[in-house]
Amino acid sequence: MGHPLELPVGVPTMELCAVKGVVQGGSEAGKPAVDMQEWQLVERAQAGDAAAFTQLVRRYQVPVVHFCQRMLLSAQDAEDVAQETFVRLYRYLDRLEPGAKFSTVLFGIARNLTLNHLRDTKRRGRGVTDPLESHAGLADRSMRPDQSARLGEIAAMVERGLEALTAEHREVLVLREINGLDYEAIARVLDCRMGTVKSRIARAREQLQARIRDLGGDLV
Amino acid sequence: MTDDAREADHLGEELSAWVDGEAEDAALVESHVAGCPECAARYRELNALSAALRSLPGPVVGEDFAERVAARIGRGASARRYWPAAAALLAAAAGVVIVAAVVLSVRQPGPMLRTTGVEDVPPGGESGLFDEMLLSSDAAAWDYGFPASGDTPEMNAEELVLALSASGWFEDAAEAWEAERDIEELVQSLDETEKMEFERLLRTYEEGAEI
Repeated sequence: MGHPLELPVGVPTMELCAVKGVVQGGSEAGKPAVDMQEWQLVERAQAGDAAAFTQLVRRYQVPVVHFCQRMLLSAQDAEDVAQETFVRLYRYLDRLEPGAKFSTVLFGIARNLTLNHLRDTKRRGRGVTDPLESHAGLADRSMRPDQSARLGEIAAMVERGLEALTAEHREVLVLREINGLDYEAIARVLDCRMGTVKSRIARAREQLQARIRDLGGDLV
Repeated sequence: MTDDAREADHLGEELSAWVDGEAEDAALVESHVAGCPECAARYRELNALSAALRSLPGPVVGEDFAERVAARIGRGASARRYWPAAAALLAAAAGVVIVAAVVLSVRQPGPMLRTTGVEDVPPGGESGLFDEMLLSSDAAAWDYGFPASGDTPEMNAEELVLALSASGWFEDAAEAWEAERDIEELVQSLDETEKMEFERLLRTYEEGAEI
Protein backbone atom coordinates (compact mmCIF):
# COMPACT_ATOMS: atom_id res chain seq x y z
CA MET A 1 0.00 0.00 0.00
CA GLY A 2 1.53 3.25 -0.99
CA HIS A 3 1.15 6.78 0.15
CA PRO A 4 -0.43 9.37 -2.09
CA LEU A 5 1.73 12.21 -3.22
CA GLU A 6 0.58 15.77 -3.38
CA LEU A 7 0.83 16.90 -6.94
CA PRO A 8 0.40 20.44 -8.19
CA VAL A 9 -2.78 21.44 -9.92
CA GLY A 10 -2.86 20.17 -13.45
CA VAL A 11 -2.48 16.47 -12.88
CA PRO A 12 -6.10 15.64 -12.26
CA THR A 13 -6.02 11.93 -12.85
CA MET A 14 -2.65 11.01 -11.53
CA GLU A 15 -2.11 10.28 -7.89
CA LEU A 16 1.27 8.69 -7.88
CA CYS A 17 1.86 6.07 -5.27
CA ALA A 18 5.01 4.65 -3.86
CA VAL A 19 5.21 0.96 -4.57
CA LYS A 20 7.02 -1.26 -2.16
CA GLY A 21 8.75 -4.50 -2.83
CA VAL A 22 10.76 -3.49 -5.86
CA VAL A 23 14.42 -4.36 -5.62
CA GLN A 24 16.76 -1.42 -5.82
CA GLY A 25 20.49 -1.17 -6.18
CA GLY A 26 23.11 -3.76 -6.96
CA SER A 27 24.06 -5.15 -10.30
CA GLU A 28 20.95 -7.32 -10.56
CA ALA A 29 18.84 -4.19 -10.68
CA GLY A 30 20.78 -3.28 -13.80
CA LYS A 31 19.16 -6.12 -15.68
CA PRO A 32 15.40 -5.74 -15.51
CA ALA A 33 13.65 -9.00 -16.09
CA VAL A 34 10.76 -9.61 -18.44
CA ASP A 35 9.63 -6.94 -20.85
CA MET A 36 6.16 -8.43 -20.88
CA GLN A 37 5.68 -7.20 -17.36
CA GLU A 38 6.90 -3.78 -18.39
CA TRP A 39 4.38 -3.49 -21.20
CA GLN A 40 1.61 -4.57 -18.86
CA LEU A 41 2.67 -1.77 -16.55
CA VAL A 42 2.77 0.62 -19.50
CA GLU A 43 -0.77 -0.35 -20.46
CA ARG A 44 -1.96 0.22 -16.92
CA ALA A 45 -0.14 3.55 -16.79
CA GLN A 46 -1.72 4.53 -20.12
CA ALA A 47 -5.09 3.84 -18.53
CA GLY A 48 -4.25 6.26 -15.72
CA ASP A 49 -2.87 3.83 -13.15
CA ALA A 50 -0.28 6.00 -11.45
CA ALA A 51 1.00 3.17 -9.27
CA ALA A 52 1.92 1.24 -12.40
CA PHE A 53 3.97 4.15 -13.71
CA THR A 54 5.67 4.53 -10.35
CA GLN A 55 6.50 0.84 -10.45
CA LEU A 56 8.14 1.32 -13.84
CA VAL A 57 10.18 4.19 -12.45
CA ARG A 58 11.28 2.21 -9.42
CA ARG A 59 12.11 -0.82 -11.51
CA TYR A 60 14.35 1.12 -13.87
CA GLN A 61 15.62 4.02 -11.79
CA VAL A 62 18.92 2.38 -10.85
CA PRO A 63 19.92 1.19 -14.36
CA VAL A 64 18.89 4.50 -15.91
CA VAL A 65 20.76 6.58 -13.33
CA HIS A 66 23.74 4.25 -13.71
CA PHE A 67 23.72 4.67 -17.49
CA CYS A 68 23.50 8.45 -17.12
CA GLN A 69 26.30 8.51 -14.55
CA ARG A 70 28.68 6.56 -16.70
CA MET A 71 27.85 8.77 -19.65
CA LEU A 72 27.89 12.15 -17.92
CA LEU A 73 30.52 11.41 -15.24
CA SER A 74 28.54 13.50 -12.79
CA ALA A 75 26.22 12.11 -10.14
CA GLN A 76 24.13 15.25 -9.93
CA ASP A 77 23.69 15.69 -13.67
CA ALA A 78 22.98 11.98 -14.01
CA GLU A 79 20.13 12.05 -11.53
CA ASP A 80 18.69 15.13 -13.17
CA VAL A 81 18.83 13.63 -16.67
CA ALA A 82 17.50 10.30 -15.40
CA GLN A 83 14.50 12.05 -13.88
CA GLU A 84 13.92 13.87 -17.13
CA THR A 85 14.06 10.52 -18.92
CA PHE A 86 11.08 9.29 -16.92
CA VAL A 87 9.26 12.58 -17.39
CA ARG A 88 9.65 12.17 -21.16
CA LEU A 89 8.53 8.56 -20.89
CA TYR A 90 5.41 9.70 -19.07
CA ARG A 91 4.75 12.37 -21.66
CA TYR A 92 5.02 9.84 -24.49
CA LEU A 93 3.06 7.10 -22.74
CA ASP A 94 0.12 7.34 -25.12
CA ARG A 95 2.38 6.86 -28.11
CA LEU A 96 4.11 3.75 -26.80
CA GLU A 97 3.15 0.48 -28.41
CA PRO A 98 4.34 -2.98 -27.42
CA GLY A 99 6.50 -4.56 -30.06
CA ALA A 100 9.93 -3.63 -28.90
CA LYS A 101 11.76 -4.21 -25.68
CA PHE A 102 10.61 -1.64 -23.19
CA SER A 103 14.19 -1.10 -22.09
CA THR A 104 15.17 0.03 -25.59
CA VAL A 105 12.53 2.75 -25.49
CA LEU A 106 13.67 3.94 -22.09
CA PHE A 107 17.39 3.80 -22.79
CA GLY A 108 16.75 5.43 -26.16
CA ILE A 109 15.30 8.44 -24.34
CA ALA A 110 18.10 8.42 -21.77
CA ARG A 111 20.72 8.16 -24.47
CA ASN A 112 19.33 11.12 -26.43
CA LEU A 113 19.15 13.24 -23.30
CA THR A 114 22.68 12.39 -22.19
CA LEU A 115 24.09 13.16 -25.63
CA ASN A 116 22.21 16.47 -25.68
CA HIS A 117 23.54 17.22 -22.22
CA LEU A 118 27.11 16.43 -23.24
CA ARG A 119 26.72 18.62 -26.32
CA ASP A 120 25.35 21.51 -24.26
CA THR A 121 28.10 21.12 -21.68
CA LYS A 122 30.74 21.18 -24.38
CA ARG A 123 29.19 24.20 -26.10
CA ARG A 124 29.09 26.14 -22.85
CA GLY A 125 32.64 25.10 -22.06
CA ARG A 126 31.48 23.85 -18.68
CA GLY A 127 33.36 20.95 -17.20
CA VAL A 128 32.04 18.36 -14.81
CA THR A 129 31.52 20.13 -11.50
CA ASP A 130 30.96 17.04 -9.38
CA PRO A 131 33.04 14.23 -10.85
CA LEU A 132 32.09 10.76 -9.75
CA GLU A 133 33.94 9.44 -6.77
CA SER A 134 36.12 6.53 -7.56
CA HIS A 135 34.40 3.31 -6.65
CA ALA A 136 37.55 1.56 -5.71
CA GLY A 137 36.02 0.18 -2.55
CA LEU A 138 34.71 -3.16 -3.67
CA ALA A 139 35.81 -4.92 -0.55
CA ASP A 140 34.24 -8.22 0.26
CA ARG A 141 34.51 -9.59 3.79
CA SER A 142 35.51 -13.00 2.44
CA MET A 143 38.52 -11.51 0.69
CA ARG A 144 41.99 -11.11 2.03
CA PRO A 145 43.04 -7.44 2.30
CA ASP A 146 45.46 -7.78 -0.61
CA GLN A 147 42.73 -9.30 -2.81
CA SER A 148 40.34 -6.54 -1.85
CA ALA A 149 42.91 -3.85 -2.58
CA ARG A 150 43.70 -5.43 -5.94
CA LEU A 151 40.01 -5.47 -6.87
CA GLY A 152 39.70 -1.84 -5.86
CA GLU A 153 42.68 -0.90 -8.02
CA ILE A 154 41.22 -2.71 -11.00
CA ALA A 155 37.84 -1.05 -10.55
CA ALA A 156 39.43 2.38 -10.30
CA MET A 157 41.45 1.79 -13.47
CA VAL A 158 38.43 0.49 -15.35
CA GLU A 159 36.45 3.54 -14.30
CA ARG A 160 39.18 5.95 -15.33
CA GLY A 161 39.59 4.11 -18.61
CA LEU A 162 35.87 4.20 -19.27
CA GLU A 163 35.76 7.91 -18.59
CA ALA A 164 38.52 8.49 -21.13
CA LEU A 165 36.58 6.83 -23.95
CA THR A 166 34.56 8.78 -26.48
CA ALA A 167 30.84 8.97 -25.76
CA GLU A 168 30.26 6.71 -28.79
CA HIS A 169 32.42 3.96 -27.34
CA ARG A 170 31.34 4.52 -23.76
CA GLU A 171 27.63 4.18 -24.51
CA VAL A 172 27.89 0.80 -26.19
CA LEU A 173 30.00 -0.65 -23.42
CA VAL A 174 27.74 0.71 -20.70
CA LEU A 175 24.60 -0.53 -22.44
CA ARG A 176 26.15 -3.95 -22.97
CA GLU A 177 28.14 -4.60 -19.82
CA ILE A 178 26.41 -2.53 -17.19
CA ASN A 179 22.82 -2.41 -18.41
CA GLY A 180 22.95 -5.89 -19.90
CA LEU A 181 21.33 -5.13 -23.25
CA ASP A 182 21.96 -7.54 -26.10
CA TYR A 183 23.20 -6.40 -29.51
CA GLU A 184 19.74 -6.19 -31.02
CA ALA A 185 18.49 -4.00 -28.19
CA ILE A 186 21.56 -1.76 -28.39
CA ALA A 187 21.02 -1.42 -32.14
CA ARG A 188 17.48 -0.22 -31.43
CA VAL A 189 18.66 2.26 -28.81
CA LEU A 190 21.32 3.62 -31.15
CA ASP A 191 19.12 3.28 -34.22
CA CYS A 192 21.83 1.51 -36.18
CA ARG A 193 22.58 -1.96 -37.57
CA MET A 194 23.63 -4.85 -35.35
CA GLY A 195 26.86 -5.14 -37.31
CA THR A 196 27.69 -1.59 -36.30
CA VAL A 197 27.05 -2.45 -32.67
CA LYS A 198 29.29 -5.51 -32.90
CA SER A 199 32.23 -3.63 -34.40
CA ARG A 200 31.75 -0.63 -32.13
CA ILE A 201 31.79 -2.79 -29.01
CA ALA A 202 34.92 -4.59 -30.21
CA ARG A 203 36.67 -1.25 -30.87
CA ALA A 204 35.48 0.17 -27.55
CA ARG A 205 36.98 -2.82 -25.73
CA GLU A 206 40.29 -2.38 -27.52
CA GLN A 207 40.32 1.30 -26.59
CA LEU A 208 39.45 0.57 -22.97
CA GLN A 209 42.15 -2.07 -22.68
CA ALA A 210 44.67 0.36 -24.13
CA ARG A 211 43.64 3.02 -21.60
CA ILE A 212 43.95 0.53 -18.74
CA ARG A 213 47.38 -0.50 -19.96
CA ASP A 214 48.37 3.19 -20.11
CA LEU A 215 47.36 3.42 -16.47
CA GLY A 216 49.64 0.51 -15.71
CA GLY A 217 46.87 -2.01 -15.31
CA ASP A 218 46.67 -5.64 -16.25
CA LEU A 219 43.34 -7.40 -15.93
CA VAL A 220 44.52 -10.95 -16.35
CA MET B 1 54.53 -12.90 -41.89
CA THR B 2 53.18 -9.33 -41.93
CA ASP B 3 51.09 -7.91 -39.09
CA ASP B 4 48.06 -7.82 -41.39
CA ALA B 5 48.49 -11.44 -42.34
CA ARG B 6 48.98 -12.41 -38.71
CA GLU B 7 45.86 -10.41 -37.76
CA ALA B 8 43.89 -12.16 -40.49
CA ASP B 9 44.75 -15.48 -38.85
CA HIS B 10 43.12 -14.41 -35.61
CA LEU B 11 39.66 -13.50 -34.51
CA GLY B 12 38.75 -9.85 -34.15
CA GLU B 13 35.18 -8.67 -33.70
CA GLU B 14 33.92 -12.23 -33.61
CA LEU B 15 35.91 -12.95 -30.48
CA SER B 16 34.44 -9.90 -28.79
CA ALA B 17 30.98 -10.98 -29.94
CA TRP B 18 31.60 -14.51 -28.62
CA VAL B 19 32.27 -13.07 -25.17
CA ASP B 20 28.79 -11.56 -25.40
CA GLY B 21 27.22 -14.73 -26.73
CA GLU B 22 26.58 -12.96 -30.01
CA ALA B 23 29.03 -14.66 -32.39
CA GLU B 24 27.57 -15.58 -35.76
CA ASP B 25 29.25 -18.98 -35.70
CA ALA B 26 30.02 -19.86 -32.11
CA ALA B 27 31.31 -23.35 -32.95
CA LEU B 28 33.86 -21.90 -35.37
CA VAL B 29 35.09 -19.38 -32.81
CA GLU B 30 35.30 -22.04 -30.14
CA SER B 31 37.36 -24.39 -32.26
CA HIS B 32 39.66 -21.56 -33.30
CA VAL B 33 40.23 -20.45 -29.70
CA ALA B 34 40.94 -24.05 -28.69
CA GLY B 35 43.81 -24.24 -31.15
CA CYS B 36 45.13 -20.68 -31.00
CA PRO B 37 47.01 -19.58 -27.86
CA GLU B 38 46.95 -15.92 -28.90
CA CYS B 39 43.18 -15.83 -29.33
CA ALA B 40 42.75 -17.85 -26.15
CA ALA B 41 44.78 -15.25 -24.26
CA ARG B 42 42.82 -12.47 -25.90
CA TYR B 43 39.60 -14.20 -24.94
CA ARG B 44 40.71 -14.35 -21.29
CA GLU B 45 41.51 -10.62 -21.40
CA LEU B 46 38.13 -9.77 -22.87
CA ASN B 47 36.39 -11.91 -20.29
CA ALA B 48 38.29 -10.23 -17.47
CA LEU B 49 37.44 -6.79 -18.87
CA SER B 50 33.80 -7.75 -19.14
CA ALA B 51 33.75 -9.04 -15.56
CA ALA B 52 35.44 -5.88 -14.29
CA LEU B 53 32.88 -3.67 -16.03
CA ARG B 54 29.97 -5.72 -14.76
CA SER B 55 31.25 -5.56 -11.21
CA LEU B 56 31.41 -1.78 -11.09
CA PRO B 57 29.08 -0.68 -8.30
CA GLY B 58 25.78 0.91 -9.19
CA PRO B 59 24.68 4.36 -8.14
CA VAL B 60 23.04 5.21 -4.87
CA VAL B 61 19.60 6.44 -5.86
CA GLY B 62 17.56 8.37 -3.34
CA GLU B 63 14.46 6.62 -2.03
CA ASP B 64 12.40 9.59 -3.12
CA PHE B 65 13.53 9.38 -6.76
CA ALA B 66 10.09 8.32 -8.02
CA GLU B 67 8.43 11.02 -5.96
CA ARG B 68 10.72 13.63 -7.46
CA VAL B 69 9.87 12.37 -10.94
CA ALA B 70 6.19 12.67 -10.02
CA ALA B 71 6.70 16.22 -8.80
CA ARG B 72 8.45 17.09 -12.03
CA ILE B 73 5.66 15.60 -14.08
CA GLY B 74 3.20 17.62 -12.03
CA ARG B 75 5.10 20.84 -12.60
CA GLY B 76 5.29 20.18 -16.31
CA ALA B 77 1.58 19.45 -16.52
CA SER B 78 0.75 22.63 -14.64
CA ALA B 79 3.05 24.63 -16.83
CA ARG B 80 1.58 23.24 -20.03
CA ARG B 81 -1.93 23.83 -18.83
CA TYR B 82 -1.20 27.44 -18.01
CA TRP B 83 1.37 28.31 -20.59
CA PRO B 84 -0.89 30.67 -22.53
CA ALA B 85 -1.18 32.67 -19.32
CA ALA B 86 2.55 32.35 -18.78
CA ALA B 87 3.16 33.76 -22.25
CA ALA B 88 1.02 36.71 -21.34
CA LEU B 89 2.99 37.13 -18.11
CA LEU B 90 6.23 37.13 -20.03
CA ALA B 91 4.93 39.83 -22.28
CA ALA B 92 3.68 41.66 -19.20
CA ALA B 93 7.12 41.40 -17.67
CA ALA B 94 8.52 43.15 -20.71
CA GLY B 95 5.75 45.69 -20.32
CA VAL B 96 6.84 46.46 -16.75
CA VAL B 97 10.28 47.35 -18.00
CA ILE B 98 8.80 49.62 -20.59
CA VAL B 99 6.66 51.33 -17.94
CA ALA B 100 9.70 51.79 -15.73
CA ALA B 101 11.59 53.27 -18.61
CA VAL B 102 8.73 55.65 -19.37
CA VAL B 103 8.54 56.75 -15.74
CA LEU B 104 12.24 57.34 -15.68
CA SER B 105 12.18 59.26 -18.87
CA VAL B 106 9.51 61.57 -17.41
CA ARG B 107 11.48 62.10 -14.22
CA GLN B 108 14.74 62.40 -16.06
CA PRO B 109 14.16 64.49 -19.15
CA GLY B 110 16.43 63.83 -22.00
CA PRO B 111 16.36 60.52 -23.74
CA MET B 112 13.67 59.72 -26.20
CA LEU B 113 12.12 56.34 -25.79
CA ARG B 114 11.72 54.09 -28.71
CA THR B 115 9.05 51.49 -28.92
CA THR B 116 10.28 48.23 -27.58
CA GLY B 117 8.84 44.79 -27.92
CA VAL B 118 9.64 41.48 -26.35
CA GLU B 119 12.52 40.94 -28.74
CA ASP B 120 14.16 44.07 -27.37
CA VAL B 121 14.40 42.74 -23.88
CA PRO B 122 18.04 41.89 -23.39
CA PRO B 123 19.06 38.44 -22.31
CA GLY B 124 18.89 38.18 -18.58
CA GLY B 125 22.00 36.08 -18.20
CA GLU B 126 22.36 33.80 -15.24
CA SER B 127 20.87 36.23 -12.75
CA GLY B 128 17.85 37.03 -14.87
CA LEU B 129 16.66 40.21 -16.48
CA PHE B 130 15.30 42.00 -13.49
CA ASP B 131 17.87 41.30 -10.82
CA GLU B 132 20.57 42.21 -13.27
CA MET B 133 18.85 45.54 -13.72
CA LEU B 134 18.54 46.00 -9.97
CA LEU B 135 22.20 45.28 -9.51
CA SER B 136 23.21 48.02 -11.89
CA SER B 137 25.49 50.37 -10.03
CA ASP B 138 24.72 53.31 -12.30
CA ALA B 139 22.46 54.18 -15.11
CA ALA B 140 23.85 51.31 -17.12
CA ALA B 141 20.36 49.86 -17.07
CA TRP B 142 19.70 52.25 -19.88
CA ASP B 143 22.09 50.25 -21.96
CA TYR B 144 19.28 47.76 -22.24
CA GLY B 145 18.15 49.85 -25.13
CA PHE B 146 15.16 51.72 -23.82
CA PRO B 147 16.53 55.15 -24.63
CA ALA B 148 17.76 56.04 -28.04
CA SER B 149 21.35 55.10 -28.54
CA GLY B 150 23.78 57.73 -27.30
CA ASP B 151 21.25 59.34 -24.95
CA THR B 152 22.25 57.53 -21.78
CA PRO B 153 21.21 59.77 -18.88
CA GLU B 154 23.56 60.70 -16.11
CA MET B 155 22.02 59.01 -13.07
CA ASN B 156 23.75 57.46 -10.13
CA ALA B 157 22.60 54.32 -8.37
CA GLU B 158 20.79 56.19 -5.60
CA GLU B 159 18.82 58.30 -8.06
CA LEU B 160 17.95 55.26 -10.07
CA VAL B 161 16.66 53.40 -7.00
CA LEU B 162 14.65 56.41 -5.86
CA ALA B 163 13.12 56.82 -9.27
CA LEU B 164 12.21 53.16 -9.56
CA SER B 165 10.84 53.08 -6.04
CA ALA B 166 8.66 56.12 -6.59
CA SER B 167 7.20 54.53 -9.67
CA GLY B 168 6.31 51.31 -7.82
CA TRP B 169 8.60 49.49 -10.19
CA PHE B 170 10.12 47.25 -7.53
CA GLU B 171 6.81 45.69 -6.55
CA ASP B 172 5.89 45.05 -10.14
CA ALA B 173 9.36 43.81 -11.01
CA ALA B 174 9.48 41.35 -8.12
CA GLU B 175 6.22 39.87 -9.26
CA ALA B 176 7.30 39.83 -12.86
CA TRP B 177 10.68 38.38 -11.96
CA GLU B 178 8.99 35.45 -10.27
CA ALA B 179 6.86 35.03 -13.33
CA GLU B 180 9.96 35.14 -15.49
CA ARG B 181 11.62 32.36 -13.48
CA ASP B 182 8.53 30.24 -13.77
CA ILE B 183 8.54 30.85 -17.48
CA GLU B 184 12.20 29.90 -17.76
CA GLU B 185 11.40 26.59 -16.12
CA LEU B 186 8.39 26.20 -18.32
CA VAL B 187 10.29 26.87 -21.52
CA GLN B 188 12.94 24.34 -20.56
CA SER B 189 10.25 21.73 -20.11
CA LEU B 190 8.75 22.27 -23.55
CA ASP B 191 9.43 20.00 -26.45
CA GLU B 192 10.17 21.42 -29.91
CA THR B 193 6.55 21.57 -31.01
CA GLU B 194 5.48 23.29 -27.84
CA LYS B 195 8.34 25.76 -28.11
CA MET B 196 7.26 26.68 -31.62
CA GLU B 197 3.71 27.21 -30.39
CA PHE B 198 5.00 29.28 -27.48
CA GLU B 199 6.98 31.50 -29.82
CA ARG B 200 4.01 31.81 -32.16
CA LEU B 201 1.89 33.04 -29.26
CA LEU B 202 4.52 35.54 -28.26
CA ARG B 203 4.60 36.88 -31.79
CA THR B 204 0.82 37.09 -31.74
CA TYR B 205 0.99 39.09 -28.54
CA GLU B 206 3.55 41.46 -29.97
CA GLU B 207 1.30 42.06 -32.92
CA GLY B 208 -1.41 43.18 -30.53
CA ALA B 209 -3.79 40.29 -30.97
CA GLU B 210 -5.40 38.57 -28.05
CA ILE B 211 -3.96 35.29 -26.87
